[in-house]
Amino acid sequence: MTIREGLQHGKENGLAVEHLVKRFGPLVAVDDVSFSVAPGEFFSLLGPSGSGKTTTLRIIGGLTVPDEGEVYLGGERITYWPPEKRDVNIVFQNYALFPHLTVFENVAFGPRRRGWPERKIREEVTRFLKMVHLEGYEGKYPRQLSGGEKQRVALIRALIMHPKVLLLDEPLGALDLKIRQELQLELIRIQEEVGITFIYVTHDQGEALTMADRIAVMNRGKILQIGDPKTIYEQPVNRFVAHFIGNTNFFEGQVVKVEGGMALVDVPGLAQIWGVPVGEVRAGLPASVSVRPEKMYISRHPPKGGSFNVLQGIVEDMIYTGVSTEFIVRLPTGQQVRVFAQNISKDAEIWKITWDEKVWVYWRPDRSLVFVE
Amino acid sequence: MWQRLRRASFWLGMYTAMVMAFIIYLPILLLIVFSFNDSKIMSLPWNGFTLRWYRIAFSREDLLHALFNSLWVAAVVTAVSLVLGIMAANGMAKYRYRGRSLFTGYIAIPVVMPWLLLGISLLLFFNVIKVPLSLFTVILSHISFDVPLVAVIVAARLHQFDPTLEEAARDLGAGPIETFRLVTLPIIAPAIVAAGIFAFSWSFDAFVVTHFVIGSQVTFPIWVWSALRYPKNLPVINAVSSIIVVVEILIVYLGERLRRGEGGGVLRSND
Ligand SMILES: Nc1ncnc2c1ncn2[C@@H]1O[C@H](COP(=O)(O)OP(=O)(O)OP(=O)(O)O)[C@@H](O)[C@H]1O
Ligand SMILES: [Mg+2]
Repeated sequence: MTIREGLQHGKENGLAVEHLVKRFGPLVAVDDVSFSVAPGEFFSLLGPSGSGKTTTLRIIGGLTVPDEGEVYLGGERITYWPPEKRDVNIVFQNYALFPHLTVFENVAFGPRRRGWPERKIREEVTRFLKMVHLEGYEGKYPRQLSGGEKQRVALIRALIMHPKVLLLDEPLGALDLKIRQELQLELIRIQEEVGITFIYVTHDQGEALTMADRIAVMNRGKILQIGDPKTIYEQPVNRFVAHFIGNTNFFEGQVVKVEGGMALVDVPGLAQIWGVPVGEVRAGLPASVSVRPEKMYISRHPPKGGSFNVLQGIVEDMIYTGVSTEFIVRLPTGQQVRVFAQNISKDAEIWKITWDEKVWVYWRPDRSLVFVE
Repeated sequence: MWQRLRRASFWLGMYTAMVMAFIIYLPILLLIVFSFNDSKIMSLPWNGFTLRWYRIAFSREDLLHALFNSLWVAAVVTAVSLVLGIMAANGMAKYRYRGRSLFTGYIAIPVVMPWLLLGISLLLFFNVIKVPLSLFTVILSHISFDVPLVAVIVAARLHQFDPTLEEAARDLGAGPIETFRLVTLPIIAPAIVAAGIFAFSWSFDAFVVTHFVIGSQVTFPIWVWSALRYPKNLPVINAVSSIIVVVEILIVYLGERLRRGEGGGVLRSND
C-alpha cells in the first residue's frame, strides 16, 4: 500500500491526519504531520521531549485547533468539531481525574453524559473496574489512590466510552519501572480484548518497540519515519532515528566511494568501514556509520576469512546481565564502542576475555548503515 | 487565617493570638456580656442579668426596618457580585491574552481604594447622571467594591485549578456549560462560599460608602451611627450588635467547614 492509498484507507475507515501544522508564535510545534491509523491498530507516536507529540494528540482529540491540515475519522472530516462531539477519548499525561468525584463517578462521568440508563452504567463501571483489578475501589477518591491505580482509573474512564480511537499521552510516564512493565502488558491485553484503535504517545523507545504495531518517530514537530518496530529498528531512515531507537555505535568520517550498493567511509585514525548507504550518499560527503552492539562480534583473535569491518581495541569494561554480556572496548582514537555477546555457553572462548585485554571487534558490512546529513 | 498561623513560627503565633485576644476578642466579649447587664450605661458594676435590651431592640420599628434593609441589600449585592465576580475571575486566571495583567489590575484596584474616595466619587457620579439617591444607588455602590472582592478571591483559587480537568470533561462528552457546572464549579465552590461570605459582610458592614449614596434611607450601620447620638440607645445597640457578632461567627465557622471539606462530602455532585 502506498502512503497515498494508506491515507485514503485511513480516511474512510480509521483515523487520518493530513498536513497538520500548529504554531505557537515563532515555534512550529507540529510541522506538516500526516499519518493514518487502521481500525484496531496499536499506533505509537515516539519522540523526545518537545517534539510535538502531545500537540498532535490534542489536535486529534479536539483540544487544540490546527493552523493548517485536516483530521478525518471514519470517513468524516472532524478537524473543527468540539471534543465532546468526537468519537475519540484521551488518557491524559497527568491522569486528570476529577478530585471531587469518587472512582465510580469518575468512570461513570462519560456514560452519564451519554444518558445511559442507571443499570447499564452500574454494570459497565463494575465490569471495567474488574478488568483493571480495581473491584472495591468504587467509593474511594482520587487522592486516596496510588499512581498506578489512578492510571488504571484514567484508562477505563476513557475506555468505557468505547471510542473509535483512544489517545494515550505517556500514560505510564510517571510510574516506576516495575509497575510500568506490569501495566504495559495489561494495556496490550486490554487493547486486544476491546479491539479499540490506540494512539500511544511515549518518549520511551523500548516501550514503543514492545507495544506498538507501528511507530511514527517525531522530532522538532516533524515525522521522520513511520514503520513497524522491526523496520524502524533495522532500517532507520536517518541518523536521528538510528540514534534515538535502541543502542548504536557511531563512527564519523567521510565517504570514499560508493560501489556495488555499498559505501566505504574513511574514519580518521581508525579504519575504512563499509556499510549500506541510506539516502543520498556520495563520495566526499561527511558521513556517520552506525552499527548496533548486538550485530558485532568480539574475539581475542582477528576474524579468519570472510569479509568484515574490523577494529582493534582494549577491553575497558564488561557488564554481565545474565542473558548477555556487554563489552566496552576502547579504540585507538579514544572512542568507546559497545558490543553485546549472548551467553550461549559458559565455556566459550569469549569468556576468557578480561579487562585491559587486546581484542578485535568485527561485523559484516551489510550490518552497518551509512548516513549523510 | 488559621493556615497562616500554622505556617508562622509558634511564638509569633502565640504573640498574635494574645494581641488579637486583647484588641479584638476581649472588647467583643465585653460587648456581649454587657448586653445582658441590667443597667443603662455600659460599665461596671454588674446590676444583674436581663433580656430587656433584646426585647426593646426587637420592638423598635426603625431598627428592624434598617436591619431588614441591610439584609436584603447585602443579599442582592452578594448574588450579583458572585455572578459578575466569577466571570471576571475567569478572565483574570484562565485565559492568556495580551493585556491580561492590565485587566487584572483594572478589576482588583477597587478592593484597595479608600472608602472615602470611593464614596465621594460615587456620589458625584450619581449626581452627574442624575440618579436619585436610594437603596438602589446603595446596591450599585456595594456591587462596585464587592465584584472585585469576589473576583480576587475566586481567581486565587482558579490559578491553582488544573485546566486539563475541564479538557477531560469536554473529552468525555460534557459541553462547555455542563463542564463548568459539573467540574469547575464544585472544585472552586469553597472559594465561592468564602467569597460570598466576605461579599455579604462587606456589604452588610459598609458605612462610609453607604453614608454618601443612601439619601434619606436607612441601613443598619447608618441606624447605629445616628442612634449613637442618644446615650439611651446604647444598650439596645449593644444587644443587636451581639446578635450580629454571633451570627457572623457562625457563618464564618460554617464557611470554614465547607472549605475544609474540599467538596468531598457536602458538595458532591452526582448527576
Ligand atoms: N500552549 C502552548 N503555548 C506555547 N507553546 C506550546 C504550547 N503547547 C506546546 N508548546 C510548545 O510546543 C512544543 C511541542 O510541545 P508538545 O507538548 O507537543 O511536546 P511533546 O512531544 O508532547 O513533549 P513531552 O514529551 O515533553 O510531553 C514544545 O516546544 C512546547 O514548548
Ligand atoms: Mg507531551
